[in-house]
Amino acid sequence: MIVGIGVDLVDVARFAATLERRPALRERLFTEVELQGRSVSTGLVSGQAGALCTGHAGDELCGETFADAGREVPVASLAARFAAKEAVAKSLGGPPGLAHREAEVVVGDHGRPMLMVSGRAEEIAGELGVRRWHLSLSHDGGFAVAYVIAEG
Amino acid sequence: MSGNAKEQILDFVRARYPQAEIDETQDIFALGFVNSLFAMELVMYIEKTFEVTIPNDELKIDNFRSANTMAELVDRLSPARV
Repeated sequence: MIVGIGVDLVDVARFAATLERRPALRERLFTEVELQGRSVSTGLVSGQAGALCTGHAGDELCGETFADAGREVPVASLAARFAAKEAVAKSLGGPPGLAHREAEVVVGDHGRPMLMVSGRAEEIAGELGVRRWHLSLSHDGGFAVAYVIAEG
Repeated sequence: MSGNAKEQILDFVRARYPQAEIDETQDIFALGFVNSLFAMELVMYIEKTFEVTIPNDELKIDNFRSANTMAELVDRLSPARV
């Protein structure tokens, strides 16, 4: 059963300009794993513990960009991650008290983006009965978009 | 503090959106061009400018709707003055 959906669109140039004006936003919005584009074990895939999810295989953000761990993550990818965090909040009904770092975009096998939700976001998701997250990311034409489904 | 904070916040918003006519009571999100990214920038601006830390439970849109509500937030988060 679908508990909630969320979508968010980010202007990549505007996002880049904001990060340039406020560099400390990087640490406020993103985890270290996200900033480094590191991959995670695929043992996390497919809704274990209710906080994990599968992403959308074959996404253009996944392949060479996410596979090259250790390189600086391109700003378009960070913009897509930011969109994913906003989309998670929307899928939960936009409750107050969520922190962006609580919705973490990680990379699984074959560059598949996945969500790991923690803290207040995880609590609310639990209350709503969310057991699995689905995430799809894309960017083109200067915009990044994220689509999230919270499944019960 | 509150009056000064209000003016500084208004100046910050006006500098970013010079096309908007904004007063201290106006809902900046209702104007249509302020989004979640700018809201986060506001968070960073307020924390740095007024030397406060905004906890997660204060990160709600109602606290950032207008210069008035943001100045009230700054007042709440600022150490009591003697």
